[in-house]
Amino acid sequence: MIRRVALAAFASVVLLFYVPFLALGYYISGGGDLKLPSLSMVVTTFLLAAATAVVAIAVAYPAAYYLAKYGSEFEFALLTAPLWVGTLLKAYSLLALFAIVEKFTGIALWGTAAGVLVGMVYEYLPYALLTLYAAVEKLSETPVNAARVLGASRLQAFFRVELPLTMPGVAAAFILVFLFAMGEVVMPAVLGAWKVYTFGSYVWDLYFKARDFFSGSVLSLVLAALSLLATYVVVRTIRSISI
Amino acid sequence: MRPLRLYTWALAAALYVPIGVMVALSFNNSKLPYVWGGFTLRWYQELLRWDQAWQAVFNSVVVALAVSFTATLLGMFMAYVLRQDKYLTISQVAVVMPEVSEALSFAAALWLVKTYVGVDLFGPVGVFLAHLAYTLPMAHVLLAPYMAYVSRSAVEAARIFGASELKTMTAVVMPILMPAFVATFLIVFANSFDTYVKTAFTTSPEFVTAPVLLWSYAARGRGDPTIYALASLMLLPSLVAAVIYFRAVKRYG
Repeated sequence: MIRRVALAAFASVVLLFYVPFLALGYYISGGGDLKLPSLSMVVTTFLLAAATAVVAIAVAYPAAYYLAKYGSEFEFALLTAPLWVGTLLKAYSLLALFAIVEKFTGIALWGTAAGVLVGMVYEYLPYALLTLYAAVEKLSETPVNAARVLGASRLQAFFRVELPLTMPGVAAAFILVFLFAMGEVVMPAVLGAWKVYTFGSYVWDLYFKARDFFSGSVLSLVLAALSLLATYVVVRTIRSISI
Repeated sequence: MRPLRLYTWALAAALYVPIGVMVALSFNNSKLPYVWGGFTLRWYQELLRWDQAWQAVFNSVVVALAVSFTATLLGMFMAYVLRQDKYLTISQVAVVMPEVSEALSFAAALWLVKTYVGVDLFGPVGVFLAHLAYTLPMAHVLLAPYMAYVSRSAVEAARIFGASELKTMTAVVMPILMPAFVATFLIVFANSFDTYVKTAFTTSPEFVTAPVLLWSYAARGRGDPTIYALASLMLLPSLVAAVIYFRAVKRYG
């Protein structure tokens, strides 16, 4: 009986999550006029997503390293708790902060790509942190000790031994954050004031403004397929870390 | 190590600055975000009188409660019974799927149901189903690691002493998993309560949730102290969830 409940639950995952993608196929088979996003928009989205991933990793790495090696449970909780705060709330709180920053420093962030970048880094930092944490935690002390015994300084040991060993984790974090950022809707809309137009905003407008199911379905499927591919790569790299 | 600790603490502080500023602004006796006009509860009183906001919060709470209860309970059954990697992989893929793709596919499915079956599910039912669609796999993935704590011998002992399958589940498995259950329930609750994109694609104009109301201000870049108060209240589930989550997880040490 328990098995039956579990299988029914699993069937509902498939029915609710995966079967709707067939509906996209239905609208694609209906045919239509494919309205592709402009090249500049794709480039903007791509660069923003890549920049988000690079900045998030650069900012998170030292903290992840510290947490994995010396951190307390409380410090870990403190840095990962923002995961539970919704994207829209984060975006809205940054909106208020941007107004204050603009008043006192004259730096306008609202409606600029830099503002959207800040928002996306804020949102995805915990994801990068957790992935890097997992990679650093698996490091064994032996190679570092060997390097130290052979005369490497602490910094040398880090850059020549530990950093290369965590590269699969860095790659996994990059792909994860890049992927989330590619489909992002909320941050560009709220912090980019619809002036920073991304792939996510485009799919959004295809549905809400143009009611163009055909183009929306095609682009959604492309995004979903890319994410599947990227997830596959992430899973493989994470497995290779543990070996 | 010392500079690293300082860096980590500075980063943690930076993560809380935007949220802290917003909460502070909800108590600010001034309409301008950059002018501190003293402490006030005025915006919360205004929020109290704003029926639409209460209706929106109420709608969000009802949906989030229904979603988190269903998803966590079913997720536990899934995690307990379906332990092979293939099941978990299917759930993991769902967790990392881009939000827009998923939301659009759900909206497309609801349109098809509306066109061919004649049942309009846009509104509370659509939102509930769309939230369930992504929280079920999420609960499964979150609960799966804790199954290691349910020892085979405890389950077998219960079965040998004559407990039925259901009795074993409720009297042996569930108590062991209770902290994980509570933690997952809270994560799913906070997530469903806060989520906007999936709700936007599946709701009807009549069914307004708290994030939908917040969006109508945020997407136009409008700062408003009453909305800061609303947003600050919306932080509560996340904060409570985070605190209880880390306590619950600690129990497994």
